[in-house]
Amino acid sequence: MNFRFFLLVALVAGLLPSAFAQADAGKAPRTPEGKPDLQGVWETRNAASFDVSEIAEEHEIPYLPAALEKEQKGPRVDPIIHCMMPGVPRISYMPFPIQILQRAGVVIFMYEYLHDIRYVTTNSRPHLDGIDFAMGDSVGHWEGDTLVVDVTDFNDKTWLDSARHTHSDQLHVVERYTRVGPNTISYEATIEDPKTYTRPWKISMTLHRNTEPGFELRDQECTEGDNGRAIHPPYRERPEGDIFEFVRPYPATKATK
Amino acid sequence: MNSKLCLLVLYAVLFASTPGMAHHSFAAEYDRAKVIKVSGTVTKFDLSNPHSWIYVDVKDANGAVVNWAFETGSAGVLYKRGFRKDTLQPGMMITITGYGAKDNSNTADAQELTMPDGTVKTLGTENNPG
Repeated sequence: MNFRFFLLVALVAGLLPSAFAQADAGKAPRTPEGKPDLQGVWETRNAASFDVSEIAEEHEIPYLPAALEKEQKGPRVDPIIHCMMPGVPRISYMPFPIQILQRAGVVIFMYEYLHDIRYVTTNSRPHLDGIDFAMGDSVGHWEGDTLVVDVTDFNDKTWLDSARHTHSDQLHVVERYTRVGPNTISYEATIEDPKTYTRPWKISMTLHRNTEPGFELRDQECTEGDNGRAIHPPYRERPEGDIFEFVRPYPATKATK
Repeated sequence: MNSKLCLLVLYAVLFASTPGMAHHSFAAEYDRAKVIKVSGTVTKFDLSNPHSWIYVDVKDANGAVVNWAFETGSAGVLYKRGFRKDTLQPGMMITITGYGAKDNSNTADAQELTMPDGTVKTLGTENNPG
């Protein structure tokens, strides 16, 4: 029996509902391999993609003064406007659905946004060496009921949000996914970057399961229309030209001296 | 190379584009009849998407130094072929071949790279220029 067919049979046989019943009893549902079951379509209900300080501990990002100064003098156009992938952790709080699939030894994140995919093996393989990617290199492992994803090998071309919170190529993100109920995943990430922040800092949010019957991911394409530019509200093209700027609504970004 | 992979590579080459530029094809930018071969000093290696770039300072016939830009594969494709950020470092002497730009700028579609130790690395693809 191939695995996909097995899953289908498992679904029809009602194994998943019984797994949710377990979750109600306080235990995370399990996959046939006995791993915590994170599968389903998940969504955020926050605006962190516009300003990540919304979900940051104390709403504060501990900038090194020099990094903050560099950021304030740097580019003012969100890279996703020009179809750059959002990077990690931003992809996790983009306002688009995320479908998680699991197979033995791998957790697959399929993002509607830009049809990005992260194929996260859970054997803690070594990170790649000598290359930088917008989405970094993700390596996973299980800690009890929590999927821990360690992400390195980033370039410095992505932002954490539209509010111009930046990072360097030394960014290191550790994400933690814990299914805390039938319809909720607790998501936490520790963000460290010795060239940008004074200390590691944390974000946390809830991923909500989309329970709409028959829900499927659809196209979300950046370059399809508008001359290859993405237009996300609240961006507006300015009369003087191709300038998009998002004003930080929070006075929360502080340089720690 | 199987035909599906060929097609994939063809699409990758034809439809990948630099942000801000119109989508372009190899045929629109580079001329297969214009074979370029230069030797010089690496000034920069940009292992990036959608395409990586190798920049080389080359002395022209008059002794003036000209910086050439060679376009090559995506970061992931080159990584699988063994390229790393430090594979090419500023100051390295290399020889590189490619197809020159139609607009006569010092730009070429890279084909073959000879490393300082004589090792030859393929930068293009079997059936299509990289």
